[in-house]
Amino acid sequence: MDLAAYPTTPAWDELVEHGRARASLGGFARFLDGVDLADLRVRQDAAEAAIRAMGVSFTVYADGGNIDRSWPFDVLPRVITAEAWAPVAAGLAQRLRALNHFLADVYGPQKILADGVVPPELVLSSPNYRPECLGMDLSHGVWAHICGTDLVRGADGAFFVLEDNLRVPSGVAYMLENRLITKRVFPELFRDLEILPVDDYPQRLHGLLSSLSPRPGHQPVIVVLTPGIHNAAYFEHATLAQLMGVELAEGSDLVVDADDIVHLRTVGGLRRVDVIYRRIDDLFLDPEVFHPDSTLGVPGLMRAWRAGNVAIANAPGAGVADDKVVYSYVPDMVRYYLGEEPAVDNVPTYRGDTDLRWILGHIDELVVKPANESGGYGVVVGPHASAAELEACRARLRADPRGHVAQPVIPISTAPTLTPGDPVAVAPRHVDLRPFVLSGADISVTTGGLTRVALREGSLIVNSSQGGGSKDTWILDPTV
Amino acid sequence: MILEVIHRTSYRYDTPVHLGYSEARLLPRDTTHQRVVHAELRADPPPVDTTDRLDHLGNRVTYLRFADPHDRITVTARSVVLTATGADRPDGSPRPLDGPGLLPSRDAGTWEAAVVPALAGDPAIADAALPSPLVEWDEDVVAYAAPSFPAGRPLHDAVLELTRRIHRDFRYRPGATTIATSVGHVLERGEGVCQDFAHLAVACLRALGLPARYVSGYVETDPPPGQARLEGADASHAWFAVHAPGAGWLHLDPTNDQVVDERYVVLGWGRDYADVTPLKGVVFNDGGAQHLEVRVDVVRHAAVPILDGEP
Amino acid sequence: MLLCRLADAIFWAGRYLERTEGTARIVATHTDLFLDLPKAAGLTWAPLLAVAGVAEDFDAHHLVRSEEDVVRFLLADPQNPGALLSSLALARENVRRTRALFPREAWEILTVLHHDAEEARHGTASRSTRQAWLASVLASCQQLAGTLEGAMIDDEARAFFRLGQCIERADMTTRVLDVRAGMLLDAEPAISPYADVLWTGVLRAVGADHAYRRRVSARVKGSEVLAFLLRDPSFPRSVAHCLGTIDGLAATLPPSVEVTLAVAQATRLVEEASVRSLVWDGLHEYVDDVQQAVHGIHDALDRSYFRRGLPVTRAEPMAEAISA
Repeated sequence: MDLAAYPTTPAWDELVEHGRARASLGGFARFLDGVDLADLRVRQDAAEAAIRAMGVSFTVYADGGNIDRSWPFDVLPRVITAEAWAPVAAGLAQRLRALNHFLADVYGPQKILADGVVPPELVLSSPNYRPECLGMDLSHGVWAHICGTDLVRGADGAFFVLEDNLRVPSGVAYMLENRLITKRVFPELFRDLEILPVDDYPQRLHGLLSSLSPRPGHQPVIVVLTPGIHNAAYFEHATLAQLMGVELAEGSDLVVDADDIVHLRTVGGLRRVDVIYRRIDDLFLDPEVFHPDSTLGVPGLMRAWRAGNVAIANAPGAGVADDKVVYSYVPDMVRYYLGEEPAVDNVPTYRGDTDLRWILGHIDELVVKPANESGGYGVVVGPHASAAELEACRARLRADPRGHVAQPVIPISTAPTLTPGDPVAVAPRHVDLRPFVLSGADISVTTGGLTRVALREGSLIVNSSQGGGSKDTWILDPTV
Repeated sequence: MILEVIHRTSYRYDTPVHLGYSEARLLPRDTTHQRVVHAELRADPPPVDTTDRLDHLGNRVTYLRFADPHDRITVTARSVVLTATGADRPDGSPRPLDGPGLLPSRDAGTWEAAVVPALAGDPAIADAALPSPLVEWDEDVVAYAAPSFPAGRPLHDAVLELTRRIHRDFRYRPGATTIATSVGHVLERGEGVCQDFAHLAVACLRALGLPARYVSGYVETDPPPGQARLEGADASHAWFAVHAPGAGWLHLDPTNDQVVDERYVVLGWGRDYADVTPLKGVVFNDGGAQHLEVRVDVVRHAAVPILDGEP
Repeated sequence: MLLCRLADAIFWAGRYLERTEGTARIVATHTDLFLDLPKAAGLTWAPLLAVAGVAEDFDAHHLVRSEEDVVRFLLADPQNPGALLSSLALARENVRRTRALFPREAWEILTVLHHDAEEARHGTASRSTRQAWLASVLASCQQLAGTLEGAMIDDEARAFFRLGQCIERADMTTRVLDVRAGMLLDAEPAISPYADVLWTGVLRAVGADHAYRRRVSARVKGSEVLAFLLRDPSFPRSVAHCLGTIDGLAATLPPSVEVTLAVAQATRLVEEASVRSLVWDGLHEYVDDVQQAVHGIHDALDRSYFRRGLPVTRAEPMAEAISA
């Protein structure tokens, strides 16, 4: 492929440098320079056929109903060398360690608040703070067992953390599916190159969940708790349950009796449940404690959890640490709890409550985000927004400063992506990366993660619900 | 003063309830100004499971689980509480921290001095200055509060006046509002019940940066001859408390324009009604309506009454 | 280990698929009957509504009991929750909820069937396109049944699927007996010139004409048809055969006294009836009893398995008193 005409932008490109494939990518660079566009199109078609056959889909909430859409996928992988990846993985582990210290502290002695490192108001006023969880002592001291951390790369290729997802991070099933697809489409590259595997994730997750069982010595009964078939991530819930060989349960499948033990309703009778990998938001977990009208949850679940009879991952209340305002204090947490310098930096972040005036003055240069929305909802990218959108955004900020943060627009990295239509072409599109970090007795980080790509030219929004797609992520050892 | 409180909540269901879970905050807590001599909670049908705990605010919580089909649930809380004002305290011990009591003297400081400094302070107090699910405010609330809080005014004068103004400006009308009525709506409609007035006062105070709590409790039902009967005596009552540095929490009742004193019994406090709902829960049945009836009696005794089942 | 919720959904998948097939068959055979009989036989479309149990619904929508309206209501009217297309959609929805329990081809066949059937929604008026369409629906249903027979793991999930099929099948056969046979018996003298054709129509409505001729006789006789459809153990759509299958399937599940008793009750009712006396009096009441007994099995399954461990039905917040 002739990359001489590949557009140059101020952003770092993952694969291309000076009109050639990055030499550091070794064998993959040779492949990229050599492959022709028609061949890539054939492989893209093969990938799309595979996606339809495998039934990979996600659900979009649209006016009036849910629509199942095929998973948009770009066949060209995003490739990172193992050498570049290792320090990032270490930094993510460090970060989750600090976040778990923070959660145990916030729901325990609250030292970090008393010491004034993180303002108490910030934590106590967070809609994700759950006083119901105060005083819980969890195994390994871990509250956030599964973390999806969003990373971006700046103009010089350095990685930044954009946000931590500690509630019900999703996307890992797509990471696994993407790998299955590229293995089908590029079999020769998997033979010739040293592409590090990702498919041990379900085993690792299963091992982590098993280690949380309140009945060591018993074969633990684990369930994935899903809101049900209409949830956007249902496909992922079903896939993970299947890959781990555990039951996919809905709230109505579980009952908690007077003994504060969670049971699974099976046609053969009740079976005790030890570990719940929940994919339901805190407030819907237990109508006894939270939303009384929630039909998704399990009455008594919090009782059982408080009594130590069931483990819940992630623990209720863990979301208090993934608030986008609390995020701005994570580097301080790393220093406070671990006495280390953060190995992966935050994107500089301005807080609506303390920096309101400055944000309002520079709104057209900033990305403004609601503190507690996920899926890219409510994000306003200043340089791309219309005057009316900016005005509406200002009004929201004034009405709820605490509910917003702002960040400079980072020229986030691009990767070559096939554009639709004829003639076949490859163009730079912005990408991010969501690795998944598992924390139990020890911490492991996926090799790479889920690369999401903004399929529209110039767009910075990579969420699948907002027109984003994905790519497989290869961590490559080019020395082999 | 010795007050006995009997608070009975009855539910009747059109179709039988197979299972019910509820959480009651119906037993009073000790404060610097009240001592709970006796407190018991009974339910009919008898719950198959009941546990007591303290919530994170220190309020007493009783968890009840009902099983077996039944079409009525009655929960009766009975307590006897010794109440006192600061003046009653024989040893002249310090002023109240957590309980109804005296106002600080006027030289206790300006209202500005009671504002919680941003990003600092005791979390338990800072928490009370933040918005909560049922207490949010807008410019209208700020505008309503403002006249009582000119710069430099003693906190004492300001909160007393706010209490008086709410009493004067709003019509007490049972049925005008529901448990979920917003502060904005109350302000717009100009009417409500004690819960609404307490929320409004709390919103006004928090809008100015002052820590304020919603307090759930009771007020004496039948006053001595010659004294007016206070509103809110037939149901659980509610008022607010504001934090004065060095003095503690001052309790004021905007519904009756009263300083909370020994005629009042505190059940508990929180950010708003939702934190101290006297009785809430979930039942499971085949649909059909539910009918709720509440009766509260607060009786003054000259001596601690003899209680059934007491040793 | 099978979750109660999944057992419930897969049971209904079986019921709705069987209902789809049954509805296709009764409409197709009734259309055939019209082609076979002269107008003088006085055949109408109304009995189809009775067989499907939707006569009241139909009238409530102020429709005319014409061929066009009746057929559209039974096959494609979105206002009719029992229409063929509605059953098919519900079958697919229940299979979707339990996808992991089915072989993958089954999902694909069902999806294709669902899409094809939806496209043909408006072609029910003409007899020729209707018959071709119904034939293809029947063929797809059979293909699906064959796929499941050959590829579905023989476990509890499959037992519940088949229980759903058998209960729906027994239900459909009793309804055909009730309406169609009952009517013929009532009107015996009037229709005598066409009795053979009409009784054959009854057999065809449950796909039994060939089996009857092989097993009983080439001469179609009312009381024999009744006996055959009710309790010939060798014909898969006879009530007795369905009950026998249900009994066998129930024995593979975690024991439930309630289900055992319900099946025994229905079986006794079918075995002990004197067909001869039914012909003369009380067929309707008798079939009613059998239907109740079959529904009783469903209720027993529901209580024993689908709602197991669930003492509750609907969650409702307790009313809260305002503090006043």
